[in-house]
Parts: sequence; C-alpha cells; structure tokens
Amino acid sequence: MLPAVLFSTGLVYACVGYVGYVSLMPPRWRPVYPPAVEGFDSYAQALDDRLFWTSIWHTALFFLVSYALIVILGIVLAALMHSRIYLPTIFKVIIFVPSVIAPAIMAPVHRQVFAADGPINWFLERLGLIAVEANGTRVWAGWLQGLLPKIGLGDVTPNWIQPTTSLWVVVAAQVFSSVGIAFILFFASMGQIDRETLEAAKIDGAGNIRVLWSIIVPATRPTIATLAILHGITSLKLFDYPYLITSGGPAHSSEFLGTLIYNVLFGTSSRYGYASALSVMLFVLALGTSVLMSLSTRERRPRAPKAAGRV
Amino acid sequence: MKKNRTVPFVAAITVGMATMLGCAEDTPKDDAADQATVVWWGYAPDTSVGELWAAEFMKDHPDIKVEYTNYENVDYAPAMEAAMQSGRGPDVFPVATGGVTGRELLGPYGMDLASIAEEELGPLWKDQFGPGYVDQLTYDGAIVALPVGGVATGFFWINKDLFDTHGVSTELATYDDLKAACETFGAAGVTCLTMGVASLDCFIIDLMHTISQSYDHDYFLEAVLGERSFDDPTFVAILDKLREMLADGVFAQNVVSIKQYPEANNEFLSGQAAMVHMGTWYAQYAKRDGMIASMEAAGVSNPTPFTMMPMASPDFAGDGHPAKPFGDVDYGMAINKDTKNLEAAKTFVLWLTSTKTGQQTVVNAIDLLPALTGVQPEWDNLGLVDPEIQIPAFTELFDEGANPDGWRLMAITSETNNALVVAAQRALSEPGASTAEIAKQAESEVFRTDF
Repeated sequence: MLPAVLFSTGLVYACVGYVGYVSLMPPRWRPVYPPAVEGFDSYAQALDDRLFWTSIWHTALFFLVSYALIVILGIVLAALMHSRIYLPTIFKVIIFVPSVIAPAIMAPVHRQVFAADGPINWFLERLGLIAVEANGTRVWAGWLQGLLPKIGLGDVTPNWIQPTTSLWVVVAAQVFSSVGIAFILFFASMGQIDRETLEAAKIDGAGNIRVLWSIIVPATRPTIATLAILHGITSLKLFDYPYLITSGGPAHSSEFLGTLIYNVLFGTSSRYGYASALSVMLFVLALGTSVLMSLSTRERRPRAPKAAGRV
Repeated sequence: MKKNRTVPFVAAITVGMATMLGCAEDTPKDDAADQATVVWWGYAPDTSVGELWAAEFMKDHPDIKVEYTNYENVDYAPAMEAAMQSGRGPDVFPVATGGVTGRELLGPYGMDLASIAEEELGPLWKDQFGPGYVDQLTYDGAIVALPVGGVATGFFWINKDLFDTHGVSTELATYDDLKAACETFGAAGVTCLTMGVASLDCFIIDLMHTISQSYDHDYFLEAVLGERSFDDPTFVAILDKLREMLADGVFAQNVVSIKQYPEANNEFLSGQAAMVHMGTWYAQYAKRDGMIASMEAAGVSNPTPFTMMPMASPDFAGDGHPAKPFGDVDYGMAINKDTKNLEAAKTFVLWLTSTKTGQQTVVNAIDLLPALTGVQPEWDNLGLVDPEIQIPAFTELFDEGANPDGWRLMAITSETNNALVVAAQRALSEPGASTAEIAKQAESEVFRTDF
C-alpha cells in the first residue's frame, strides 16, 4: 500500500513541480525549445493581463451566484422530499439524474435550450414577450421591450449566448447539474435532525418557513460549509461547461481560468510558460481558498483546560 | 486452513500460454506482419476523402498501410500538442501556413523535407509547386511540409436550388442586392448567410478580408504585416459592415452563438441556409456522393442533393471593387521528426504531393487546388450534381484560385487570428461598444512576426 501511495502522490507533486519549473521559462516557451529559465516574467504578464482579471471576476461571480442557488434549491428540494409528496422516488430520480450525466452530453442540450430558436425563446414568444421580424430576427416585445432599457439591459437581445448573458447560461447549466448532489447531501443531513425538536416547534406554532429557517438551516450548517468548499474548488477549476457551451466567449464574456489556460496553451501559440504560470496561480488560489474556507467553517469548540503541570 | 490459490492460477496461465504458442506455430505467416503502417492525423481532409486517398495510395503501395484519423479544426492543435509532447504523435500530419493549425505551432514537430523533395524532383523542385506554396510552408529555414494543395476564398457558396425556388438572382452585385435577397429568404423562413463566430477559428477573418478588399484592396494584408494598423478607419468600416449585416438580417441572429463547423456547415448542407462563406475546399460537397454523405452527417434523412455554386462576392463598399479570390497553400504534409516509419512516411508524403497519380487523386476530391503544376481535376468524371452548369463555374473558380489576389492566412499568427475573431465577436454582440474602441483593442492584441 505505502509504495503505491508514495508513487501516486509523488507523481502528482512531481507534475506540479514541473509546471512550476516551466512557469519560470519565457512566456512563449514550448517544450520543443531548449530550457531557459527567465524568472517571473510570466507571472508579471498575468498580473498585467486584462483577461486574467476578467477570468477571476467571472469565477467570483459564478461562485457567488451558483453557490447561493445550489444551496437554496438543495435545501428546498430536500425539505420537500422529507414532507409528504406524491411519487417520492420519481421526484428523487428527476432531481438527481442531471448530476450523473456527463457535461459533454449535457452541453449540447444546454446549447439548444438557450439557442435563439430554442425552447426558452419559443416559450417567451408564446407569452408575447418575443416577436419575430420578417427577416427571422427575434426582438423583445410586450412589457419586456420597455423594461430592459430602463434597467440598463438595452443591449440584451433574445439570443442568450452573447456577452451580456453567456456567463449566466454557464451558471444555469452548472446549477442544473449540481443541484442533485446538494439535494442528496441536504436530504441526508436533514435525516439526522431530531424529530422531537421539529414536533416541538410545530406545537409551539412555528410554520413551515420558520421551521426551515430556524431549525433545519442551522442543523445543516456543516453541509452548507462542505458545499462551499467543494463548489469553491469547482468554480476555480471550471472548464467543461464554459468550454463546451460558449467556448469562453463570445469575446471572452464567459472566460474562466480553466478556459483561459486552455486557450493560451492550445489556442494562441502554445505559450507553455505563460499557461504554466496561470496554472500555478490557479493552484495557489484553489489551495488558499480551500484552507481559508476550512478554517472559517471549522466548528468552534470550547478550549480545553490547560493540562496540570507535572508534580 | 488457508487454501493456496496461486498454484492453480499459475498453472492455468502456463497452460494457456503454451496453447497459444502452439497455435501460433501452426498459423501460416500473415502478410500483414510485413506491412508498415503510417499513422496520419489531420483536421483536413474529411474522413471519407482521407480514406479514399489512403486507399488509392495502398493500391500503388500494398506494402504500406495508411490509417487516417480526422479531428475538428479546433481540436486538432490540442490533440497534436499533447501527442507530440508525449512521443505518441502520428507519422504524418498536415501543417497549414498560418492560424491555429499553422507552421508556427506545428512546424517544429516536422522534419526538414528539402533534401527528400530535391532527391525526388530534382534541383528545381520548388518550381513544380503552386505560386509561393513551398515558401509558405517554411519555418525557421526548414521546409516543414510539402504542399498537398492550395486554397482560395473571397466568394460565397450558394444553394442554387433555394435561389431558384425563391426567385432570387444568383448574381448579387452590390450589398443592397445581398440585403434584398436576404429579405426574401428571411420572409420564407430560410437563413440567408449562415456564419458561425463562436469559436476562434479563422472563417470570420476570411469574410472580413473579403469585405476589406471591397473598401481598400491592399489594406488587410498591410495591416496583418504591420504596415498599417487595425485601428485604421478601414478596419472600423469592416466592423461596422458586420454590424449592418446582422441588423439587416444578412447574418442570422445566432451568428455569435454557433461555430462555423459543425453548425453553420450543417445549416447550409441541410438546406436551411441559402449561402455560406467558405473557400475552394467546399467544392468537394458539390459531388453527388460527397453531398449525400455530408447531408446525412448534417442530419438529413434520405437527402436529395442540391446544386451548389460559387458566387462572386458583392461589392460591399459600393464603389465598384468587389473582392477577387485570395489564397495560399492550404496545407502541406509533414513527417514527424521522431517517426519510426520514416521510409513508409516518406513514400506516402511524396506520393501525395509530388506524383501525378497522387496529386490527381487529391485534386479529384476537389477539396484542394492542385499543388503540383499541370494537374487539374477530371471534371467530367467527378459525379457533380449538375455538371452542365457547375463545370464552367468550377473551372473558372479553380483557375482564379491558382492565381490568387493576395494571401489568405500566410501572415496571420495565432494571436492575430484570436484578436481579429474577438473583434468580430464584439462587433456582432456588443452593440453598446464603439467599433473604433473594438478596433483599438484588436490592434493592441495582435502579434506580428517576420514572414
């Protein structure tokens, strides 16, 4: 067992070390060229790169919005599952199945759902909120047509994979595929809550919302914390959905660190030095985030009394 | 008592191996064991065409087996990089002159083929290929690939059947003619010009170059080479024209949401779109068999082939200067520096690029313009859908393409490719951003090098 553990962890950390070494090469260095350690030029370039900061901003937005939605939906769906609902097994399967389907399979579905002639726009057309012009172009109609410019969204057209909305398409896809896991975790966590506490609250006159907010949510705090760590790391490493649905675009509007690294490595001149520096920064960010989150969510225990001195 | 299972297991393995060895001794020697295998990866040609070339080659060289794997354009460079770095790359592979499949990226993996070509074709070997083709495949002083064929673009492909059905003229001389045609198609629920700009491939750059030639003939290449800038008013005018095309319904609304391959390609081949801006490589779908296969691949069941025709570009600027076909070598075939099948790989590459039989096979696929001078497609035997009207148009197109009006991708680095595609994406999807600001950003992101 020990040799296998040493070999596998050694391999992983050797690769991390190699990426760190390559990050010190010139930004445009490739393995076909002779090694030439140049220092921290690639890191300086990254800090000066508009796309790097755009990706970080997208990651932060993605994390905040998708995490909030996943937690809220997970808690609500798990609470519903614990109440008396019709056909509970089918309910559970419907919620969980998107979590087990590979992104490569789901991505084309999401592309179609959010296409200009896809089902969302079809539905909005039926509601009278989208009109189709003679040349086939879709435009907003009804009350939505007047509202969007007033709230600063005058540039948004009924085409979801565009700079204003493409990030939110990725968020929607991720929430759709992650909520099943959150649902299962919350469902298990809620099963640990003492039924007598819930019954006592009901007897004291607490309604469903009050019970959910004052008893269930505090009791599932460890699950919320675990999801924060898992989703934080997922957000930093995000690649599959933005790459498969939007290719990080249009015009980098859904660029994340993962897609940026991929594009730098394979889309623009194979800049191994620069891509490696970005990878190291991603690694540090992921490690730092998980450590910080672990520390901030650790249960506070009363400090143990000092051991008595030897006599 | 613990039962020892090791002894029967080892015995079973030993008996099994002995049986297999016994069988092997009795089996007659297979000829295939002596057959060298050349592994060929490429983003072009399509699988069916690649397999056809391989089959024709194997008829001439039964001792060599060629295995072809096709990748989508955007997947090719990542697949190659990973394979080459790990020493598991193909024996032969295509290298384009520029862009994300270009010599700048893939050239270092290819061996210098100058001496091999000279040995096969003599000291004046470069003159036997199309204009500048060999130079366009030179990287760091080495000939990293031998030309397989050329390419030209700067015109549109049209579905003539749709044009006829809706009473639209197949000669659209001005932008207003194009706009009027698109109004007719739009009213009938037909996409006018399908285009996909979602990924970073170069097709929108071709269209921008076509538009640019109309405004200022030499501007685009001068800007690519650094003699002029991309924040020039001409580039701003090109971006404005892209916006106008979207507003006028020339482009479909999904232009920034879809990719040229497979989505825009499928829209055209499935008869949902009347036009597409592609190059001479698209002629391959004008063949009845090729069109049926590609229509089926595009999701059409029991397809009826339509008549596909090249259409000259309209005059976008309205001053009487429409674009003429421009182009360069499409790609050459390179040999992996580390190949273990050098002789077989050399034989295949030389057959494909430098022999009349190989080049005739290549050009008969009408995927490429001939690389070797003196070879022309055998138009009468290609099985075109409507030879009577297609052959004169195709012959003229191939003649023009052989004498292109400027380069296509020759001088475009992958950063420049990326910057120009992003500029087009922004122009088409950020109505609030000024085209002057978009052009300025493009200029700040391009990367020019000496060619």
